[in-house]
Amino acid sequence: MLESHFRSQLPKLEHHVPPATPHSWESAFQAYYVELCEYVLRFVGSAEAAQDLVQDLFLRLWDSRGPRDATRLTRPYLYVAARNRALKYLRHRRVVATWIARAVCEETPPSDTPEDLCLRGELDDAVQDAIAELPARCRAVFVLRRREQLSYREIATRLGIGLGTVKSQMWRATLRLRAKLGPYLALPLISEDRAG
Amino acid sequence: MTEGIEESLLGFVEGDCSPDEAAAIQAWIAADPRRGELLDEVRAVWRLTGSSTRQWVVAEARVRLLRSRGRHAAQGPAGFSARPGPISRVAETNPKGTPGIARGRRGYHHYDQASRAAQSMITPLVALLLQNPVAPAPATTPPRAVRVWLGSPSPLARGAAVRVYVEAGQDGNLVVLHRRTDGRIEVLFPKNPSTDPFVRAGTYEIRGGDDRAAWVVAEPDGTGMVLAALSPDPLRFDEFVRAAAWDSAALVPTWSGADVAGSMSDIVQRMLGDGYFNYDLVTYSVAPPVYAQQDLTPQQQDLTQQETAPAYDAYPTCLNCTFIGEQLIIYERGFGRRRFQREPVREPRQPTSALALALGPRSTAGPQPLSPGSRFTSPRHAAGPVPIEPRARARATTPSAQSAGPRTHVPFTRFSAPAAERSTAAAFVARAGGLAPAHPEALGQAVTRSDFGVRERGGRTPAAAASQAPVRSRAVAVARTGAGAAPGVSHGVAMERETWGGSQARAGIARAGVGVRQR
Repeated sequence: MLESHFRSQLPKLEHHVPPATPHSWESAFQAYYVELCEYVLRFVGSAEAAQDLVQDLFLRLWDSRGPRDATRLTRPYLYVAARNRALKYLRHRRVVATWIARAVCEETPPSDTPEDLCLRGELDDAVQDAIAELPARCRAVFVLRRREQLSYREIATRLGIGLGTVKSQMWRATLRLRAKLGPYLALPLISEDRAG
Repeated sequence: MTEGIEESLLGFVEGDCSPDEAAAIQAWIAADPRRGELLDEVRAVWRLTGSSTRQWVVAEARVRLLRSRGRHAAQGPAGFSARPGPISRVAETNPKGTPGIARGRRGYHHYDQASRAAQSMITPLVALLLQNPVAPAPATTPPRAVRVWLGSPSPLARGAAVRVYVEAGQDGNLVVLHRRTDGRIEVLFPKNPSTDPFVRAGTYEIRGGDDRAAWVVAEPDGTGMVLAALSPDPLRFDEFVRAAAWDSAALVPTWSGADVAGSMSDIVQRMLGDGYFNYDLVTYSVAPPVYAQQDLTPQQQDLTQQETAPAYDAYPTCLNCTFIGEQLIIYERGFGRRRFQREPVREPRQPTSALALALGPRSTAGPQPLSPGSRFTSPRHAAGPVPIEPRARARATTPSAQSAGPRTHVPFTRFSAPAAERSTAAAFVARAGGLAPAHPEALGQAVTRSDFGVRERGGRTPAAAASQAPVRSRAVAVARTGAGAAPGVSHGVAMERETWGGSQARAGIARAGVGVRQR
């Protein structure tokens, strides 16, 4: 009884999520291109392929003339279309069936709720601490890669180290962060279906 | 897990793998559920430590998509996919990641990506073609929807009036944008936003104010571009108009860091909304006149390094610049008597010289007549080409010429790979009554590039003429050829020296099939 009472008092977070508003073809591309590329990348593992698939998706949407009426260019529609396109690509590439079965289980990442944003704010401190505790070389490589978006080769040039060293340091940093952030990895915010 | 696989796993998460590499890693991960868990955790770390797994360049993707869309539209509603295959590998891009926009590329058939399958087939196809040469098939390429070109060759000099011509392959709404070398974008057509941009199929000259040339070059050195876009959809200029005139502050791309073509295509797309357009680009460069004569190829340096190596620094290579190369070969009797000078040396005696220009094969797609009722004028074109026959090469030079050691200097500046329609220029400065190439390689190169004969009056060969050399006279021949065009359709013009070098530059121009006339 009490539980049901509290539940009734809890705000329905999903109501705070802005509804999926229809977009024009142009605005849908601007709004969802990066999201869709990230999503398709989880399936295919190649940015080139992901970009091609998303571009083909938008090209097909424009060519079919239908979604240009701004009634179907919503986020759920685009994600489902991108997912179907990615699965079709995997089958076409004859990727092993086990991976395809895994990819089928991929869910559409939900929109960020206020709760997610709040949790992320708290997580930021833990992430910053974890990064700060990395060894100096590891931290430098990791920050240049993740924050400044430098390529491995550019990092090697800037730090004056070899390309292999950059990659190995990056991998070490990843493992260390994985160990330190392990407790947070189980949070719903970064659960398996959404984390990455 | 091996070290290589670990690194590959990072590349997989970040999307740095090729499709084949990704397939291999997917198989490796799928073989063991624990590897899948590791992948999930790495992805989770990635999500915590950054907003995205990698840097997605939306602006480039948008430009690429618009190009594909334009091509798609050109193919009709049931057109083919934007890519040659289901998935193609992204072609090599420059370090900045900007898509390469070459001069004269058309929006409806240009892609930054090439199919891997197509790449694998190129070599055998080329080999097959070389083994079985066939007669050229009739042209089956679809007509261009729009084409733009300039009336002046690049590089342009400051103060020059530039004419812009546009050939519309079909009726539609035309907009012509000009991006100056300083980055400013202006609308060349329609000159007034209230003007109806609809044009009929035909060739037009875009005029500037007061019915003059499109613009007068008053820009800093650099590379500019003109884009002509043709669309069947209506254009809306409201966003770019202020006080019934073009608003230069609004003629900017919506995102920062846009490349030149992308910024202009973005403006056109904003004018069209969801409409599509075909477009054509032409680039030009503004450079000092001496710009073209400051470099030597290594091979030519070997030939001339002792006597004619320039004392100044060469300009750095400029990607995507228009080719403005020239070959200048100087023959003198003795080494060291006079060093190469960029300006023509004035002789005490009045020199006898001529300038011969071979303008290359004439385009078969000539300008169409002026559309009736149009506000534009048709571009003026020269008379029919004068065929230039290749001369019989005389490789043997006289002993006197060799002993005299005529000097060869070949300054050659190449700023980009010459396209099919580009021209190569070669200049011969001859002393002692004719052209006597001292170095066989230099001769072969020059003749190959020029495709025109340089012959002295009376049929004497240059080599023979060089052996006499009693008279101090100079002749200059500049030839331009279309390397990729059909052979044998070159035309040329020979000018008296006074017509190009002196104060009497308004003197008459004599057309001739042979490059140099010697008085």
